[in-house]
Amino acid sequence: MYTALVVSGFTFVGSLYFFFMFLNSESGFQFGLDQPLSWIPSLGVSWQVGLDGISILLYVLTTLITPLAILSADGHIKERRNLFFGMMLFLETAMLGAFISLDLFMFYVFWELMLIPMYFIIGLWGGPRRIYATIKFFLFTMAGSLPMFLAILYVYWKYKMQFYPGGEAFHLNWIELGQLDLTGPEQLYLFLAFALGFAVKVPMFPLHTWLPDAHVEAPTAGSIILAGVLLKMGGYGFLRYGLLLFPGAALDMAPMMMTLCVVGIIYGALVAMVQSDIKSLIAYSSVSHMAMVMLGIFSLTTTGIQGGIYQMLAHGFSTGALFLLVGVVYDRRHTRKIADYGGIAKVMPWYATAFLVTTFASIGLPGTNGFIGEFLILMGTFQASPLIAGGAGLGVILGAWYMLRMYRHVFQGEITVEENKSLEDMTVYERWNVAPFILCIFVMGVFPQPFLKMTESSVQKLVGIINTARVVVAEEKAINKQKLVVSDSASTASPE
Amino acid sequence: MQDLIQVAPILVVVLTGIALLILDAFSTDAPDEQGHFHITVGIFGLVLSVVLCLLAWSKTGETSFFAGLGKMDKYAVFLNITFLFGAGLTMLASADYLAKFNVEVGEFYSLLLFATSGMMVMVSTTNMLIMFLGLEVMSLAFYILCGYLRARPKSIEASMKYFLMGAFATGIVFYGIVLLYGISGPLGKLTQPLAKPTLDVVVFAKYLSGAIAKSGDFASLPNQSVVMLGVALVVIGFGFKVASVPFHMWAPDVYEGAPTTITGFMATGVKAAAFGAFVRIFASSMMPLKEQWHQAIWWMAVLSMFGGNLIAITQTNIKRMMAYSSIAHAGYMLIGLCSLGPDSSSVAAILYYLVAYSFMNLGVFAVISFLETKEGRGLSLDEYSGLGMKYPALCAALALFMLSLGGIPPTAGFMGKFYIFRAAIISGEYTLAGLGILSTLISLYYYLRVLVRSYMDKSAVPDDHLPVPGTFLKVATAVAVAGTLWLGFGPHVGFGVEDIWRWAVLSQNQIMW
Repeated sequence: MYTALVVSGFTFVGSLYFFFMFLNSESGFQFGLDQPLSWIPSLGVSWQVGLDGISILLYVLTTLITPLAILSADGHIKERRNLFFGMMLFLETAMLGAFISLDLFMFYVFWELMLIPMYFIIGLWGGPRRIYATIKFFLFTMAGSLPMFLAILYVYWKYKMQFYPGGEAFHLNWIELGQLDLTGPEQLYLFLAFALGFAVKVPMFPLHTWLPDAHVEAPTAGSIILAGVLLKMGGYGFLRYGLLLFPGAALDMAPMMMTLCVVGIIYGALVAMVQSDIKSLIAYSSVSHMAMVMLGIFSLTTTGIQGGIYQMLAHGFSTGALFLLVGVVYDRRHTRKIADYGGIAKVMPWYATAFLVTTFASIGLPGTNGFIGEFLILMGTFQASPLIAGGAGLGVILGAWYMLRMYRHVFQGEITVEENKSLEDMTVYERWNVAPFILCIFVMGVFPQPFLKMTESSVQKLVGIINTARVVVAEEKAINKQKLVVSDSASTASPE
Repeated sequence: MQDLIQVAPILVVVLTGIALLILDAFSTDAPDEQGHFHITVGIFGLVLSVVLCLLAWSKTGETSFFAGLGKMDKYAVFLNITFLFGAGLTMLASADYLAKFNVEVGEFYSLLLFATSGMMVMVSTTNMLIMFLGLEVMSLAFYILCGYLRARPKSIEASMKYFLMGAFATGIVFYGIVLLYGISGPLGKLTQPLAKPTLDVVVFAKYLSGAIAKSGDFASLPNQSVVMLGVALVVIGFGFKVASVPFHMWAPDVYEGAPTTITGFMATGVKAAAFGAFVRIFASSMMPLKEQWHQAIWWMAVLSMFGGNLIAITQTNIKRMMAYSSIAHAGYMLIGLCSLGPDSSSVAAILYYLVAYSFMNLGVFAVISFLETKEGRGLSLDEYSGLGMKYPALCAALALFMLSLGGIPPTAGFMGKFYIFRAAIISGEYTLAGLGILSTLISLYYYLRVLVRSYMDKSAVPDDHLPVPGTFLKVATAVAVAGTLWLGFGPHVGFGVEDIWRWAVLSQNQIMW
């Protein structure tokens, strides 16, 4: 355990170097290798890495949450500890690899690699229905990512045909990748294939059903990583690959995606409202919040996308902290039913305070990081479609409703269950474990500017690409219309 | 002399086999020591053969020998090395297994080597008759090997079934070859008869395409139905040998009954050899007829993938499950055959897949053979519960093989699927690729179930008096693990994924029409 902690701690310290040395004005990739290391040159697969405004914050989020999750696992992982902490580090490697890879193939390799440790973490140390949950998790994710696999093969093939038809060795290059010549239907199908993979991971309604099962059964540390980082992988994938490679198709699909997001926000919130298990309530709130993130991304505006990235971080911290806190009472009482608690703020003041702060962050109260993210997303969405922004606003209100209701039932009022009277408050160890989360919630809630600055230029570049595509699509439509007019007049002219 | 140098890799294997038979007659050692001695000699012969193969690979110039009957080209060498590795792993894994059953070891390893030589003959020729000869040599050895555990009725049953089915299959292949032979001569009455009918696939290809070019298209050829019948019979015969649906019925029973290590070699070596000959015939001479056979192979591929994977889900015996999994894998390789085309590199993809499959599947069977008990227990999936606690290293290897079979990166199985599906995408087989992906997803369910059983279930049996794996078995598993990982992420320094792929492409270029 200490080895794992030290290793992941060092990774975090190392990632801070990237965090502070990051040049905000640069929109391209930083900290990369001078020359890609080729792996399968005849197919264009190489090892290229780099961080830009989209990935840098998620990278640091990963390195920060992993040691905290490892810390939280110390108490309640009793069996096969070495294997568990090994799996956590394995998972971190895969996640970081996916964030820094700039090669589609390598990204896919890491993307799949994440499944293996998570599969074991849920399956070996999970709750009573862990095997069902872990297989469901694995198969859902694979079902989403295998079409993406085919799409990646297709992109490589197209790329090779367009730029290196002679069969010489090559490696993917982001500038050329942007100029990839794809017809409209090709773009659409490829986008859908990628979107399926990412949407399962996010998870977007109606592909979310694996998430509550996985969360409820996973051990606390697994839940923290799952909610904190793994779900962000989907949003990141949309930003990095979905929008950048197929801007035209993304534009076409944006209204549909946004509608799905709003449905997801409201549906997630409504289902969360009737949950009796705290963990599954938080899981459904994740569905709702991640749909909010996707809404920001598919507003296709700079504000919305920045808000989406910010909300991903905010959600990572607030939900990560919530799962950690649920783990704390679960360790003491071995139940997560809301009905089994009530009024425990009296015996656990520290705990109640920490829970309240994270609840507020989850709701998006001003002063916490959730507020900044949701505000930016709603602003961006409003530019794209006021109606949808209204629907999302309704979701936010519902969010406050179910979270506060849960808080009231668990913490306030009289203590109704006898066992809860002797509940012990958080230990010092647990307090320190949750402290970094709360610190981040406030820091990011009060000083959002430095973080937003980091993402700005990369996002602006992305939006620029999308807007170019928008213009191209509009021109094509105009030309087609003209053709239609011409052929119409020709057909009306011909009988005469 | 030149001919002997060309044929040397095969010769060495045969001679090692004969030497083992002779040594066995003079040996006075105890049975298990005897086994170790045999394996050492056998491995020595195999290594020598690999070295000779590598020499043949680097040689330029004439590759045919015995007046054009044999051909040790790069394609042959590539596959031969695969067989030799497979045979080596099987030998190493068999040491513990045979000692457990307390049977005579003398003929076992000789037969294994003879079977290997048959495989090598099968792919080291362009002549269809010689292919058939190799097929028979290989099959005869396997008929005996399947029934090697005489005390076990299931083993005898497997042998009998395999023999009957195999006899039919070879008969069918033979009849197909005869038809193609006949049609190429003056009696065939195609537009451009050869003076002498031919069995050589390359000559046949020239002849066929010449005839088609002359008459415009294939359908207007006189006697085209005879050509079709010949091709169909060849497809059916090889369909049997590679165990693809709907010619797979024998596979589960035979795989279950045969000695476990032999099952492993049957699923990999026999499949690789049959595919080797199959692909050589099709890539070299059947390209002009692609329109005609494409549909049939397409359906065989789809049925094999779905049939194999869906039925595997319901199996409770791991050997039967692996038999159906092997049927499904034949389906994936048939995708490669379907995508045969000028720039899809599909033959190289099949070759890569065969190598990858050999390592991961032999690894699985090595582990299974160790867990099987003398009474025939230890094969049901339920008995795999808690394996992860009893044998951490062995079970980790098993997990790796299972994930690799399911095509999870960064393993050999993933790279194999990558190349196969790439070929399908390039040649425009989108539906087939989509179906392949879907069936991969189905297959993950039962591969994962092995992991669930072995890691996540508690053991029902108390774990005292556990047998300990022997050195040879450990080596076999370690080699299989190394191969599975190396073919999955071998870096570009040294002989990594890229270089193996390049070798596969070089091999392919020598046989493509």
